[in-house]
Amino acid sequence: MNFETAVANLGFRDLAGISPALNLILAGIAILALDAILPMRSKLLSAWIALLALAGSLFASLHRLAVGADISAFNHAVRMDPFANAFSAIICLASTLAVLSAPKYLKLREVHLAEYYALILFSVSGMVLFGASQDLLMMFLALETMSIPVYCLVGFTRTNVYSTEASMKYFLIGAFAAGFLVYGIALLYGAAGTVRIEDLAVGLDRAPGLFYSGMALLLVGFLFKIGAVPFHMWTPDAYEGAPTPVTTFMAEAVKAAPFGGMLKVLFVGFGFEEAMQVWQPVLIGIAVLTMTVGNLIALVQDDVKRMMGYSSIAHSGYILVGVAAAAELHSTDALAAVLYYLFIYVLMNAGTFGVLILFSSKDKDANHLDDLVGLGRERPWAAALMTVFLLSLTGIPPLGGFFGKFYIFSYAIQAGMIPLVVIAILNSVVSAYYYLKVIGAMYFREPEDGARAVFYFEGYSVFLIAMLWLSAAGVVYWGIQSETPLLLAEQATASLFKPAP
Amino acid sequence: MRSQYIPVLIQLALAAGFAGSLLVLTHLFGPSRPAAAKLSPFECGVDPVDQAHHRFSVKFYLVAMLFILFDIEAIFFYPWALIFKGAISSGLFLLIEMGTFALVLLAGFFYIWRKGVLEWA
Repeated sequence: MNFETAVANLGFRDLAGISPALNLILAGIAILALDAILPMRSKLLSAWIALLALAGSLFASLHRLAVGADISAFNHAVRMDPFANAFSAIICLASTLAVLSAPKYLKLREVHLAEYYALILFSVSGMVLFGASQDLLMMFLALETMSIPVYCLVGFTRTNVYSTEASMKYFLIGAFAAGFLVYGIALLYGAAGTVRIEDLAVGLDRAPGLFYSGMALLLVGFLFKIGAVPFHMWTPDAYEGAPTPVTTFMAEAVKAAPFGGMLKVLFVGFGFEEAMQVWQPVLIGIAVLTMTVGNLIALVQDDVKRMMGYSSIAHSGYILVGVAAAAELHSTDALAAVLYYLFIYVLMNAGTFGVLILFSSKDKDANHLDDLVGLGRERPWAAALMTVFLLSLTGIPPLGGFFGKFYIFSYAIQAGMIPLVVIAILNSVVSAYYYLKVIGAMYFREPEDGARAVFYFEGYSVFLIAMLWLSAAGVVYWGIQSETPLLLAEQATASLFKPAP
Repeated sequence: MRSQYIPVLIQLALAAGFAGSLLVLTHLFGPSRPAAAKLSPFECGVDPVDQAHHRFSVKFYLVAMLFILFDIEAIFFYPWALIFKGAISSGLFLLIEMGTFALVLLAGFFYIWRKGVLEWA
């Protein structure tokens, strides 16, 4: 296709194709304009606008997923196929939960600004496009659109030194990772002569050295973003320092989104036999490292937010087991298990951080294990919800977390990766110790001075309560009813290998 | 094949020569009246070697940042006009796209103006 026809091909249907992302950008700009015109009243209104926009994108993505829409836009740079729509739905759901958790907490910290919601929406628009990119350049742009607002969000409580430190650290590491990614893209372009993901395979015959080094660099960039060992160092610091609603956003949306692009590049760009034989064993090694290191370090953490940072590293490891199994089996159904896992992971993570936000006060986060001592007796409902989320994270049936792990591990067994599954299950057992440690603190420990523990619902807001119950209901319901989301996920991943329309 | 890269080499040599000759020429012909502020790197009033926890006015950085943002976005118009010269006349879509881009730019400008970033005092 020459340049003139490519330009003449552009039209409004391209914009309609990416409407789930466009909608978020427009809402973000509307929030900024509103804040400029009515600075006094914009805060809660912005939260509502953000929620509406996210709900709109969520339902648009779900609708497209249900009818199996497959739209190519901008001369095949973006493809909103069921795979992209599934990721878009997961991410919009995650961001909705993160937005619900924010208003009261930010108000307590006196940083309840309309910009918060605008930044979240801009970031989510990047995430939606990230899984939809068919082109490495488009993918890189989407990645930056996704990351830059998050750097600002991490430092949102700007008078707090931990928050600014975390922001700085995250920014530097993020820029470093982006460097790897761009360099990888450049080498792959050198090898294949194209940045189209589905055409990368030609690079292997033309310049194998360039191709493999480009692939390695790209992989390193992605592993940084998902926080896999040995590229995980930023995770606990960024999670601990960021304001808790931002940590919620990072631990679910910013965690799930990179998997969209990564799976697409791995299975569409490098999905052929020779390349798979190189990256699949590497992923297995990294999965083992990630699970083990994440879980072992989480054991000794007393700060629940930091512990959840290491736990999120460990969960990246479980997900990588699923990715490796899907590569071994050449099965998109196994990838569907990964998508289902991400969906459940979003719900249970959101809930855990939500409970921490509920008891955060004006001056202090309730992040330490000691802050939760006696919660079971004083605030039984909150403790019960927390228990549900933690048990789901451990992987106790009949909660969603169990089924997520169950599907991933059973596909890994089908693929004949018995030692890997044994390691993963041993890791799950180890992880039970630190999740149960929190439950133990809530129910079985007494305050040391013998006085009754006091808990005020300082972070209470209708939004937060809605978020907690939604996540808990989701973890229970979609755990037992795992067939429906799994079926949708299977439709979604099946589109990954179909040629673009 | 290789000869088409010679202009790049020539440009490199020209750029290096220009920068080098400026350094030499100012050294030869420029009057030298040193002062503490003049000798400080960047001559911008901020000591580059200092404690990290130091108070400084954020105004400079805001203005510099905004300048870079709007500068880059304005530069974006040139390649658009040049490369799409033929295509712009063929349909309204490209024109509307650029209009949207300019609108987003204006929305940003409106935002910083209302937020009082442009007031120096």
